[in-house]
Amino acid sequence: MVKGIWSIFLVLTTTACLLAAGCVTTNSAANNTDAQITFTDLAGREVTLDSRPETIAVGFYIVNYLMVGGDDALDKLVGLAMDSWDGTRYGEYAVFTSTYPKLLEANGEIVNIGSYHDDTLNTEKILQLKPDVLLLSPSQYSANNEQVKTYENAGINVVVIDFNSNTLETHTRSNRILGMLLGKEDVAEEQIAAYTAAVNDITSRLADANVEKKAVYVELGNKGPGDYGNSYSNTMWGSFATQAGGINIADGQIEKYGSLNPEYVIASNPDVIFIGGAIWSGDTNGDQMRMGYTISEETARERLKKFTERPGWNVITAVKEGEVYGIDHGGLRTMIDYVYLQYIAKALYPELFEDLDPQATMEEFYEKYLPDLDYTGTFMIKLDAT
Amino acid sequence: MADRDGAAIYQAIVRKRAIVCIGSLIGLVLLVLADLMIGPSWIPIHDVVTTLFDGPNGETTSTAIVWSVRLPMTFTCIFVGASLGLAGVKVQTICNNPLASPYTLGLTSGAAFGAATAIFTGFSIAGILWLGTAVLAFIFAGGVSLAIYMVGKMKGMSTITIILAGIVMNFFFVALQQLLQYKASAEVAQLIASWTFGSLTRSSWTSVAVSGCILVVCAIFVTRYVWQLTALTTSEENAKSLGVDTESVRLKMFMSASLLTAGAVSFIGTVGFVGLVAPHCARLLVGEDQRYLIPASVIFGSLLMLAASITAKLIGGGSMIPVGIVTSLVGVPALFILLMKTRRWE
Repeated sequence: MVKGIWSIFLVLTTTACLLAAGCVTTNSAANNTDAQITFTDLAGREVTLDSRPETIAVGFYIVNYLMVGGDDALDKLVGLAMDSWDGTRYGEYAVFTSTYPKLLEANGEIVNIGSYHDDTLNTEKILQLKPDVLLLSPSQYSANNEQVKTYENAGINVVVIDFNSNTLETHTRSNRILGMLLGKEDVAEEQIAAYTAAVNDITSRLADANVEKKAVYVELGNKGPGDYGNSYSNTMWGSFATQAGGINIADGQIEKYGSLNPEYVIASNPDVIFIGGAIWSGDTNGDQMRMGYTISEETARERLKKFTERPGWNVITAVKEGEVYGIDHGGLRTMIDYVYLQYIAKALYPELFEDLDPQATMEEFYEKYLPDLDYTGTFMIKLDAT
Repeated sequence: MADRDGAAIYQAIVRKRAIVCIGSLIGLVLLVLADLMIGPSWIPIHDVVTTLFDGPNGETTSTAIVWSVRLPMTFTCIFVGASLGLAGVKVQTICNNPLASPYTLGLTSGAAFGAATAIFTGFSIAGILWLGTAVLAFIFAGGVSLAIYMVGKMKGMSTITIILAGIVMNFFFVALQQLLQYKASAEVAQLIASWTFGSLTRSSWTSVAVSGCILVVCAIFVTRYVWQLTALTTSEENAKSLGVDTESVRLKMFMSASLLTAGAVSFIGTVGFVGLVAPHCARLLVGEDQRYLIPASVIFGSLLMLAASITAKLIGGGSMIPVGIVTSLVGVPALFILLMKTRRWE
């Protein structure tokens, strides 16, 4: 009974805090004269918009854009860089275009302004389209420095956001900008608050617990078991592995990412192994690791198993104890990617994070912010102990 | 008197050649041992030795490392290096041109395009991506050599035609591969790029068996033609007047060189420099006599690959530096030293 009252009190205070946070941001947004919006973007540029944009072209981060803006944002969307979207993130492409047919190039409702993956922008189309705002990733911005001047001369406001760096700070700032542009400050701040709380929770629990650190190996499974794909040191999965309290065996061996020597992997004897999966073009009956939207658990597990059968892996602790996991490589760079941090932390120290349910947290997020989206798929999976 | 002098000189030459061959063979054995002893885990040497004698069925980390990682890599180095050395010496001899190599003739870029196609389309055999990649690489390398041969045959198998056709093929397939790389998504493009670096992480007992078998078969095959090949190095007319069917010899050598190259690069990826450098090193030391040149090229090919593998392991630490990059870094100084020591470039 006492516990029940206590939890009601907790819920009430949390709600109050969230409301207060919402008010604060509304106030700060109001500091911008009525409609004017001013902020510093993720390339460090001062951006001032006279009014909230009516039309937006998205060079990158369409998923983040919709997560903050929902259906309203879809109405504002006039252009999207979508060449090879299907080849790069097939699952994401399939799910988003079927949920939001507007995103299909063939439907002709929005203009294709460039490439999804290699920073190529179609300047002519962008100038012709003349959106109020053009959203770019940092690499699109640096690869198209000269063109950006042309866009701005034509009256297009270029805004750079960054979800690729995968840090709390860049995620927060980028999401806040999306909120301002889309008039969804409350949604943006809510997502930021949840993200911050989740990251801080993991850090503080680890700091208090004083656990014996476990060795982690993370590999991108795009080469299949026959060859060793990239591992990551202080970036992407590598930084998650460290934040989750693991000792990343790739640290100090590679700059950012690269393949590790098979002998080094075996000799390092990791306690836990994560293999990143996705749907890479063409691969239907192959052995590349598959994860993400549209992928069944069965397929993911089947593919994951083959990695554990690599020559010499029988002696690795993680393999012997079934501590081998699949994670969706496309899951990074969104405001819900902290569930992977939680997942890795829980895999490493199950007793410490027993109450966390990353899968459920992710599902709630989708239900709340993208209720129409059919997010069926496999995003995090454990290979059952053999 | 003059006769005896001639015989003495010949004997001295033969002795020198034999010493070079035996010396490099000893060097090969030493490098094989070094390659087996060196690795990022630095297992003590006596552990490596006992693990080798204990066989592949242990459950220890040393067994896994020595039998599943180091041995396949070492054997791959030996066979790939030897195959490329042999292919290189054959191509140089039949083209009568020191610049010819499996690489300049487009065989390697054909293989790379085949591999890129497999990676791009996700082509796999029996559900295994690397096997699909290797098989397509093999088919394309073979296709390129057939095409060059057809062109050569129409134009009487003249050396200039063969080389020109090869260079054209090279550009063509490099462009095709770049097109695929451009069209592919970032992660797939990175896969294609990494294939073209030639990495020992792709070696396995299967690749060892395939490249080893091809090497042995082709090596035995070529021994039947050493005299014809030696005659061919003097000049086309000389060889013909000695009764050599030059066109047929060129065809056979060319096709077996393609097979060797395909077998070597299909599994581990492009290794460019060995096919060019190994025969030159050998030629500088033993001369044109094919009876010595061929085995010396084969040994030098293996030596280069092993030296590259050891270097990569020493500088790489826990990361895997692609051996294809290191072969050039090791091969260039080796060739330069030999060039400087030899008075004259033939």
